[in-house]
Amino acid sequence: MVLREFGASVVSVTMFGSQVKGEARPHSDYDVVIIMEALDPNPNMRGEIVASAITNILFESGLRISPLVFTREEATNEVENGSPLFATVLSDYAILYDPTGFMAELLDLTKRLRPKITYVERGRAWNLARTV
Amino acid sequence: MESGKNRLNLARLYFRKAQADLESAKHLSSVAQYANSVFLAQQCGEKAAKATLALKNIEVREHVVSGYLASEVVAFAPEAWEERLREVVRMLVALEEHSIRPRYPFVTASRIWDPEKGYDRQAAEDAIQKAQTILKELEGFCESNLGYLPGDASI
Repeated sequence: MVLREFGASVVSVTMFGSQVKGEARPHSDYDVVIIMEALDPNPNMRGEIVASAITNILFESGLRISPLVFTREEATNEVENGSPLFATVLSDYAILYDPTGFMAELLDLTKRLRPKITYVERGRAWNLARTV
Repeated sequence: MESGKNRLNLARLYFRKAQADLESAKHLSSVAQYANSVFLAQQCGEKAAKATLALKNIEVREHVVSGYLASEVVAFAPEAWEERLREVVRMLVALEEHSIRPRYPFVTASRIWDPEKGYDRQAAEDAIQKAQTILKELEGFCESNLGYLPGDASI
């Protein structure tokens, strides 16, 4: 469904967050990272395209996905610059589609780079470098 | 929430707050506070959806409500409303992308996201247009289908 709605240029689809951790509530959204070959450079246009895809998936399956969508180049740039997001993904994730192994390589790179950032949330603090 | 009267009052308060958020969004846009304007437009959409869900006896205590609206309201809506409500959900999904980003700076990768630079007049006007449509459509749907009567809440 994700592949159909986001088009042929999907490179990889990875789920992370509460649904993978088994902490999700009924109707909780599904956090996913979607890597694409190409994306509309206009952020407003990109937002509209993503919103339509989310809505179509929602009505077809009843699942509300919350995708973070990147091109290969954007995702690589994120990781190489110590993106907290990709380090967070590492705490619990499931790669759903990755025929070229791009996402697997990206997450390996994230592990090697180990961003030294401490997050504080809901009374808990954790160091990302120690989670990977 | 048990009685029908409580449900009606809760819905009235949510719709009233949604209207106030919409007015705030318009004002903030007029003084070039575009990021805050977009956030208030998102809040308007969220509260209009929560008003509708309240009339179905569902109280949602989270910010992403489009899934609930689709599964608990649109799925049971009369055919005449189906397409209109699908469009409402699509607009709500688009606004939900702005529940956090307009409010905080954060590190993305090589740069820091600055919400004040990330939103412009066009983004604010677009969000306000969506919020306005969501509010109007959901109030109309609730009046026609869920026994909603606009008015002051009697608490």
